[in-house]
Amino acid sequence: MRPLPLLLLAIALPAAAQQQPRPACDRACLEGYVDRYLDAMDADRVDPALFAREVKFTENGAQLPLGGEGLWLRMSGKGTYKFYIPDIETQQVAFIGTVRERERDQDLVVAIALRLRIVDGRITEVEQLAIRPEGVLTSNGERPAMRPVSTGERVEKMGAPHAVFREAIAEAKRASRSELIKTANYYFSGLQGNDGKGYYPFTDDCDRYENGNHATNVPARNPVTGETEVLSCKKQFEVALRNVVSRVRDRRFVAVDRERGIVFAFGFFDHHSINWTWQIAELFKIQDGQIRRIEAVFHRSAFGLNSGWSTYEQGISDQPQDIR
Amino acid sequence: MKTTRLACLIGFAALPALALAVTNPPATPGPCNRSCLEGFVDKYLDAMQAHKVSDELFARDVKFTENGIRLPLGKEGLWFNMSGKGSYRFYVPDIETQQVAFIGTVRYGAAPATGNAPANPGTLAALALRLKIVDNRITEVEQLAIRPDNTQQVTGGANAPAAPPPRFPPTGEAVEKMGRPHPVFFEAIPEARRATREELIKTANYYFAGLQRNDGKGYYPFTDDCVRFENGITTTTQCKKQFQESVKGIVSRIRDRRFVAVDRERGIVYAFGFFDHDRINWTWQLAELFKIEDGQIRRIEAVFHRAPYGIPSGWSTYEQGMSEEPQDVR
Repeated sequence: MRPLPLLLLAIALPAAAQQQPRPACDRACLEGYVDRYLDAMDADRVDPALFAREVKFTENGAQLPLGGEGLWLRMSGKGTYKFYIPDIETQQVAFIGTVRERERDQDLVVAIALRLRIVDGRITEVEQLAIRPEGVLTSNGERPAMRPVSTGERVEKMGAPHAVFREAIAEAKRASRSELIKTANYYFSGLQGNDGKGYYPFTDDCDRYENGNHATNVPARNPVTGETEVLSCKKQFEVALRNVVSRVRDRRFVAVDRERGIVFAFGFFDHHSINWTWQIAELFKIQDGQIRRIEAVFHRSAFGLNSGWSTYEQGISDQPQDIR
Repeated sequence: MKTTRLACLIGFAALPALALAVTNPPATPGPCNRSCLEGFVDKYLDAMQAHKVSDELFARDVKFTENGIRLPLGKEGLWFNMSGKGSYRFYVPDIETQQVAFIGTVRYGAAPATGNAPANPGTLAALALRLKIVDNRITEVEQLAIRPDNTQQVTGGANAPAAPPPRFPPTGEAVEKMGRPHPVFFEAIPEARRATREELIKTANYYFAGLQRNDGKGYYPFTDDCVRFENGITTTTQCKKQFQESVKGIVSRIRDRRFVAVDRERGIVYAFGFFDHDRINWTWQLAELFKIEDGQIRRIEAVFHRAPYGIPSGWSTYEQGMSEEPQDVR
């Protein structure tokens, strides 16, 4: 990962002035890399035409050899949910979707969150979360007796990304990259150690889905009144999600789609008192400096785990990182 | 931490530790003997229970990992809410490398009675530990906290079913019930028959090499009376037969094999490692110790839990973490 936006030049300079071996990838091109990546993983074939020789691969925060490990070993087909977040500025593309994974005699639906980096026409970095329907984390190797609830199945039931996500922001109103990240980061800083009195820039019609579940605007208990009511994004932060998440760290903003006002981040939600870490991919639709729609997939991880892309200090920090 | 391939520091181990401590100036105390090293474990547990990182006990640049993940020392992981020591204590001092390993039990999360709520005695966890001592201070802390949170959901969500009761007892409780390490472990090997550090590691590594992609036809140097305990439960009383007949084709890879403490006097080798099962995307993170006599494994004890697939120890490079080669960690 490079710290500076060198590829800005590729957009700003006329084509004739560029000395790049290949032109930068546009939206459709970047999205195409996700499809080709999924095809490659399905076939468990690391094609030198698609991947750089020194490609780095992580799954669920653990670095592994690319090919023959993790989801690459067991993927048995593509799923139907596909949400692409191309970042033409940094030549990265993020994705939330579903795939099939073979386990014993059945195909499981697995949710995936993905980031690819493209350099000179090849994938140089692959970062993925595979959210499997394992249901319970057993210390002793137990399998749950009941069929586990599948995040992948619930994500797939959403059908397609909500229409709001596809709406382009009028050019004159498009926020800068740093503004979009700043707004998205208010979600994490608001949730971390939340006392109900933070700055919560949500639109009135804001909605959130987590692992395919509708997490806001559904009847829920208001802990302040004890009554059941429909809690909006903002109300939920003000009255319900208080003192739940002790730290949101390794906040890596890895794709920004300025055209549609979408920001995609990886991060970790620590809960110290129960020794619990959610490993999460979360995306935000932002309009006029406010968060309008949120979608996340996550699973439990080992407490304090690093993304596999950060230094120890970055991994433990609650500061936002603009990953370029 | 230095990792060498069976490098030679044998002469160092033979030095009279106590004599050095007396003749050296206090600022540079000599190497720690067995009881000194074991004392560091007790002091460490006391510090963790008190949630106090003192300059007397810990080097300023001490490195800490729990369950393979580096964390700040003092308020994270088991340090956050350890509330008492357990009764099972198995020390493996390594006077040569000035490291000490340990398998034991601790309690966490105890709370006094409040209002209508009764007092909470806390929960037992099994603890596997390595400390490195330099200049009378702890410079490295590597621990596995094996908690009984096996009924909690991975993916959460309102529609998740309640988990069934586990078939195995919680690891901490099962380890506690073992009482104390088996007498075989306390038996000293006669000096003339003591194996070298390299020989002991080589023999212990046959266990990993034999289990990995086992076809039942490997080299399994077990004594006839070999017994193995895993997470406090007897898992075999016929080590060799089990390798020949039943545990075949199960573990696809045993990697990041870090031999972190060798007790030549008692013939005990202590290792951390990972057992990958690629077909079910399953990794066990383990601490395992071996009693070795005359080149054969006589008794084995391990504690482990599931970890994210492919995770490294937190002390290895990526290449070491993926490798199946034994590492002599000094």
